[in-house]
Amino acid sequence: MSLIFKAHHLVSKVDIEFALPDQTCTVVFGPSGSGKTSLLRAIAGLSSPLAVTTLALNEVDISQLPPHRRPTVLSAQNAALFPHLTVQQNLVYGLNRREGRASDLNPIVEGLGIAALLARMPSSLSGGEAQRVALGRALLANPAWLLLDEPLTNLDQNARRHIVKFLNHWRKQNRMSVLYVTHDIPEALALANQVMTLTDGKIIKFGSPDILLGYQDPQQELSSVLSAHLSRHHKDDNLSELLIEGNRLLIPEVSTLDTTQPLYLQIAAKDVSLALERPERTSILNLLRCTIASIDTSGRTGATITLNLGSQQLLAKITRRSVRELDLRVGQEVWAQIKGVSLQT
Amino acid sequence: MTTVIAAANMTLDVLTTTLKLASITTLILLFVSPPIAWWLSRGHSWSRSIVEAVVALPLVLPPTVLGFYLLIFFAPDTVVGQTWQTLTGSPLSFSFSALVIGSVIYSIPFVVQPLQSAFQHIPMGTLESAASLGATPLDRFLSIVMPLCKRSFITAACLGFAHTVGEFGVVLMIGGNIPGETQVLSIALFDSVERLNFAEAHAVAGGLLVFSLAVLISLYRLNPANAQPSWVSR
Repeated sequence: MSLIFKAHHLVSKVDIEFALPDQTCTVVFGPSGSGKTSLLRAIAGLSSPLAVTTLALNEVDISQLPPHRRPTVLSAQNAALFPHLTVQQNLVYGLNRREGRASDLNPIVEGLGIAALLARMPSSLSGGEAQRVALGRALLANPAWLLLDEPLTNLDQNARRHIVKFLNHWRKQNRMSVLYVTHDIPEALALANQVMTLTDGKIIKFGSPDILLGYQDPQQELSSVLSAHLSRHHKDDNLSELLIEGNRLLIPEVSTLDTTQPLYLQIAAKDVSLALERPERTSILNLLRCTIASIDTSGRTGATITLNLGSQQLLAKITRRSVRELDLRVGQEVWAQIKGVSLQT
Repeated sequence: MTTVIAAANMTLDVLTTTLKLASITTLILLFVSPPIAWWLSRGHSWSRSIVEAVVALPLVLPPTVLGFYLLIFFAPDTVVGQTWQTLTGSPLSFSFSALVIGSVIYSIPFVVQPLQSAFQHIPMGTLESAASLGATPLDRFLSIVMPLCKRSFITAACLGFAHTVGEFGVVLMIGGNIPGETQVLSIALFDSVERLNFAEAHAVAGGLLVFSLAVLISLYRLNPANAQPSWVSR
């Protein structure tokens, strides 16, 4: 075990402790105000409501070291670039002060797609560009532990996916350990060796990315995460067939050929509709036979239906009127029609 | 002819003394003020309020009050006066060194306050990033704070310099108006008027007026009121 952390929260009075293996990526998940940022700041040595009692890296106590002497680099969510320095000067700030390698500059600049920005001043960058530069600056400092606090929030899905892929490749190649805070399930699933979910400063769950299955973030759009396996590719349709609890699911072709690794799917609850009988002649490809586990009609107009699909759970958001007209009851068998799936490979 | 040359020499002496005093004072202030301003800019506490009030005191206190206390303080029979005498072999009161000490105290708010205000506007996150990227506190000050507050440093230096050139009460009390040693422009002006030498008075007064105006105009050119301060990030 390489990073051992124990602390006491001075405000909420809860204790937190965990141990993380070296050279892994741990994703910290949880709603706003759950203490994710405080946790990273405490590890980096910045002021935080967490009073650290133990912080050891490879059995060396670093809890008393000032931030600049810790083997950690924290990149904050707001990028916090140095406004008087160009992008290039920002990038090498940590490289020159820590054990960075000048030869990393080109691959990182390429990987993050910021080559065209090098001569610009931070004030001329968009939020997404600034975040890329901040991530590059942190990577170039080449820390043993990289602490990233929602580093990609201002980027669109496509760019985010691309950068997550690069980050994953880079951290493995350079044997960097990463602690990554995010709200985004696909991002978490793509990066994580293990996941920690926090609520009110407490670790609610800790373990393999599987723990995100069925995770509900009150601040995000309601969605469910399911685990599936690749079955085969339908080359002519550019579709891949997945198996999820014995059910067939077709999604846009995935690049992987590995049929043993689990693939994680995120399905928004509003993209799931229900039918009492198997719908015939429909354009929707994905139909899953489920059992209703619970019906929550406490929402103003909508109802949230929890469906059992083998051992996994799928959420559907439909109107209360539909619940009444279809006369849905717990235990009933229904067909779930899936309109959209997002998958991270 | 000789009187004209003597007068010119005297004026030159006064000018040299004044500029030397202002330069040395400004230089000392630029070393003394940033740590005080930095400490004052990082939070509020009783001790900070007290120090802030002491630093601002010369703004409201009649300079003669400050000069009077310094005079008492610097007298040869006090601990300060005696220590100085032992260390340097000459008395402190009515010396150029006494003027420098007095001027530093008198002008300190003009240097500390612009710096304090600039330091307060540096976002915490910027400094934390620098720290996390491996910059020591001194490195952070030199590589982040100084460049971000460049204009404020120039403003502070100009204000400190100009204010020292313009001081009267403190210098009169502790300097004693000794030509070539402690006589500065503002006192020379007072002398000229007392001797009814209005031509000389006009030269000195006009010179100080033009100088002060020039300093202020260049400061306002440097920091236009409607321009964004240089530290503002996105």
